Order: sequence, then C-alpha cells, then structure tokens
Amino acid sequence: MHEVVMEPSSVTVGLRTAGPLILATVLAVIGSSWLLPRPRGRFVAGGVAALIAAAGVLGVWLHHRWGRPLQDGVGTLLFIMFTAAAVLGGATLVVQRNPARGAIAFAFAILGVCGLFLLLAAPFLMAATIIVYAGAIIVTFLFVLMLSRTAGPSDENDRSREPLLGSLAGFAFVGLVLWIEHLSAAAPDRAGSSSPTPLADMTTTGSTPAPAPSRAGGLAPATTNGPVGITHSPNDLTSEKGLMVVLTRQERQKLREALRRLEAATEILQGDLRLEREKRIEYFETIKDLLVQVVGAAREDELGDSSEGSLAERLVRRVHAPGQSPALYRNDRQMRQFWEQVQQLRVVNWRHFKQVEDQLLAESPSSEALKQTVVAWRNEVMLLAGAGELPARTVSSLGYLMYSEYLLAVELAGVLLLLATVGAVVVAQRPKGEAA
Amino acid sequence: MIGLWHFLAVGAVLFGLGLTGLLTRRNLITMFLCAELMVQGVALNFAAFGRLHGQLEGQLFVIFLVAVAAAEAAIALGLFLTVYRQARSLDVSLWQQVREDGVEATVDTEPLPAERSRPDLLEGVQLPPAGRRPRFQPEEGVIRV
Repeated sequence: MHEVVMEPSSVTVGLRTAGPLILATVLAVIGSSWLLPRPRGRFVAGGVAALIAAAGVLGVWLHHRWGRPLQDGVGTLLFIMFTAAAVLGGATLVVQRNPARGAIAFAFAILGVCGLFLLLAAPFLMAATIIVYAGAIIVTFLFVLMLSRTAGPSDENDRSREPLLGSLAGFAFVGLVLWIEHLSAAAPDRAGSSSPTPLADMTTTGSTPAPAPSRAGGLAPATTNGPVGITHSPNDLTSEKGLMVVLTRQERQKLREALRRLEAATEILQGDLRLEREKRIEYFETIKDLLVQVVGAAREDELGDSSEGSLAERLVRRVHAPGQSPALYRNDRQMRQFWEQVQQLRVVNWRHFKQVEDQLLAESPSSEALKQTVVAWRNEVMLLAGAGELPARTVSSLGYLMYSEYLLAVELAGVLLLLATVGAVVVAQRPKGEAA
Repeated sequence: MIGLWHFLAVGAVLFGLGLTGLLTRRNLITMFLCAELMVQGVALNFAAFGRLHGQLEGQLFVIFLVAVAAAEAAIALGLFLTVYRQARSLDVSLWQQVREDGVEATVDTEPLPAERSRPDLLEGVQLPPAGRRPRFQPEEGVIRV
C-alpha cells in the first residue's frame, strides 16, 4: 500500500523550483499589459519582447522539468510548431486592435490546436474542429464584423478594461496551474521513495505486498523496449516506467502476423476439407504458437507446455518469497483490463485451436463451424493487438462508441443544436414593423 | 508514449490567454473568440488524457464540446446582431447598466486619439484642362444592417 501523503516540505521544495515559472508569469503580465489596446501608452516593441521572453523561459522550464514532449525528433518538431502556431495565434487575438485580424489569428490558433490533436491520435477531432471553428464560426463572425465595421478609433477596439489586472488574473492562473502540475507530478516521487512499494498488489488484497526490486534492476526489461535517455520517478505518468509500453514492437508484429493469418484462413479452408488435413492443421498451429509466444499458454490445457509468454515476463513482477503473489508493475485500470484480456486470450487461444483441430479431424468437417471459430479467434486477437495505444485510425471506433454507449448524449447534443438554431433565428429576428 | 504534461501546459497557456482576453477586451466578438480559445485549451486537456489512458472517451467529450460551441456561436451571433442594432456598437461597456448593485460605473477618462485624417490624394494635383476633377467621396462611417 502506498501512501500519498504530501510532506510539509513539498510546498517549499516546489516554491524553490518554481522560480522560472514566476519569472515567466511576471514577464507575460508586463508584456500583455503593455500590448493590450489603449488610447495612449501602448509599448508594442517592449510588450512583444516581454511576451517572447516569457514564452522562452516557460519553454526552457518545461523542457528542463519534463524533457521532450515526444520521443521522436519529428514529433517534437511538430509539437513545437503547432504549439507556436496556437500560442502565437491566441496572443495575437488577445492584443490585436482590429477584431477582423483577431478573428484570422484565432483561426491560426485553431489550426495549431488541430495539429496537436493529430499528435494525440485524434484525426476526427482535427477535421471536426477545423470545419466547425475555422470554417463556420470564423466565417460567420467575420460577416458580422464586416457589418459592424467602424472607421477610425472606437471605444470597443481601442480601450481595454484594466489591462494590468486582467493580464495578472489570466497569467497568474496559468502559472498556478503549471505549478500545481509540477507539484502533482513530483508528489508520487516522494511517496514512492518513502514507501518501498509504489504499486499495490494486484491479484490479492490484504496480503503483504512484495518488496520492490531495486528500481534499475527490476524494471530493466521495460527500459530496453522504449527509447532511453529519460530518468523519472517510477510512478510519474510521463516517465517511461509509468507509461510502460503495453505492447512492444515485436509483440505487436507477432499479433499482427497471427491476425493476418487468421484473416487469410478462409483460403485454407476452401476445397474439400477431408483432404490435406495435416497441412491445414499446421497452418493453425503456427497461429497458435505465435500467440503462445506473446500471451503464453494456459497450464491446465496444454500438456507439457506452460510457457509464460513475453507479456507476462515483462509486465508481471516475480516474487521469490513463498506465500506472495506476483503483481503487475503498473497498477492502473488500463493495465488491469489489458491483463484480463491477455489471460482470456491465453485460455481461448488453446480452446479455439483445439476446436479447429477436432473439426478438421472429424469424419465430415463443417466449414461453417470452422469459420465461426476462426472469426471468434480473430476477434480476440484483434482486441489485444489494439490495446494500450490509441491507433491513428480511431474514427470508426469513435463512431461506434458514439452510437452505442453514448447514444443518449449524442441525441441530446442534436437537440441542443436544433434549439440553438431556432433560438438564433428568434433572437436575431427583427420586431414587426421595424424598417429594414 | 507521449509527454502528457507538455500538452497540459499548452492547454493551460491557451486557457490563460483566453481568460486575459475575456477579462480585458471590450469588443463582444473578440470576447467571444477569447472564450472559444479557453474551450480549446480544455479540449486539448481532454484529448491528452484520453491518449494517456488509451481510451476514446476523452475524444468523445471533445466532440460534445465542439457541438456545444457551435450552438453557443449561433446564439451569440443572434445576440450580437440584436445588440448592435440597438446600440450601433459592439462595445460591451455600453451595457454596463446591468452591472452588479453597488459597483461604480466605469468612465473612460482618456480621450481616444484623433482620427488620422485621410490624405486627399488629389489635393494640389493640377489636372489638364481637358479633364474634369473627380469628386472624392469619403467613406460612410457605418454601413446600416
């Protein structure tokens, strides 16, 4: 059991490390209050310089605190570019006097955010956001802006309410949020170091947890799979061990190969099923063996072979002392679900193979039953192959989720849109008798 | 494997920028766009956490967020048109009579800078006698809706 008790010193430790954060906040407040529109005393060059300095300090702090945003160089570059577009567009929107230019800057900010959505494996969100925001909202508002264009300086565009206090509120909020993120990322580290077992026992409750192996040695198998070069606390969500890869590349390849073979099984099952039985059984045995390499074999089903599979060897912490049950390195909901899937496939894999073998060895094999078994088998493998990571092709899953589990919410959103349409017409309606 | 905190930081920065704009700017449309910027910051958080946990619920929530934003934009547009028809301005301070009880009204003390006069390009130009000097019409200040 691990205690998440914040030691009293954690706040002071956080304060000491938050110096750059305070500096960035102050710089941003100064820059923003210089840049915000006002009739007199706007200091554009100084404001821009202060804002850029604030962004630079924040970027360096982020990099120092949490390392690179993405592991590959291209991803990092893209992240920086999209972030720059989003933040630059947002800042321009806030300080721009001309609202039409502000709207265009907002469109750029949206494009930046859409790029970040792409990096987060959300292509559908990217498309939807571009269409709704950069398309519909911006065009509509530009339309209104054109209608309400004023010549020369005006109250609404050339004055601000409390530039200094307003920017102080906004940026102090950002600084506070980042500081809390900093603290919450650091807190489990201290909790982990104070108690030897950061991860609770997974299989049994109440038993004394196994003493954690030394971190470097115990978690070494995981570190070989991912990129190296980042050292973090084991419970840190961003750290390699915290976000330990669920499936390595080799395991994924094996699962994909099994999947491909299962999908191509219809060709194997063509023709007279009573002929070439050995060849067909061998085909399915290859599939079974591929899966056994990854998920292992169930002990009671397969005689003589009780291999654990590469997943179990990597994800489950061994215990050598008697009376203690093994635990998963990662103890979160996702990992538990994944582990249940693995165990299910371990049993089902053998069962499906046995069914196929029995059917093929029968007097008159039924191709329908064989196909059904193969489809069920394939579905299990498919579920496991997609686990752990969001694939880039999430659109169909998203659609499925929307119209199965969250159907009521979708309906409600539709009703909301309809009401908004009606409401907009009613609100914008001219009263009767008013001249055009 | 992604750095969750980086995305959260970008979301926080966008939210803060939007908050600053919403608090300080006086043009209704700019204020609305700043509020949308805040929504984007929140959406980024949802997507990042969804990615972290390998679940689609985060993205799903953003879709509802976008739907709500679209509905909001439709209503806001209608409201802005109505407001503009009545006051001939999108200045939010014109509507400060609906402020809280006991709060002083804000008064703009500093005068706006004088409008830069549009230079008459044709002034002083001597046209040949055969031609006729075209009439220069300054732009209308407000185009009526």
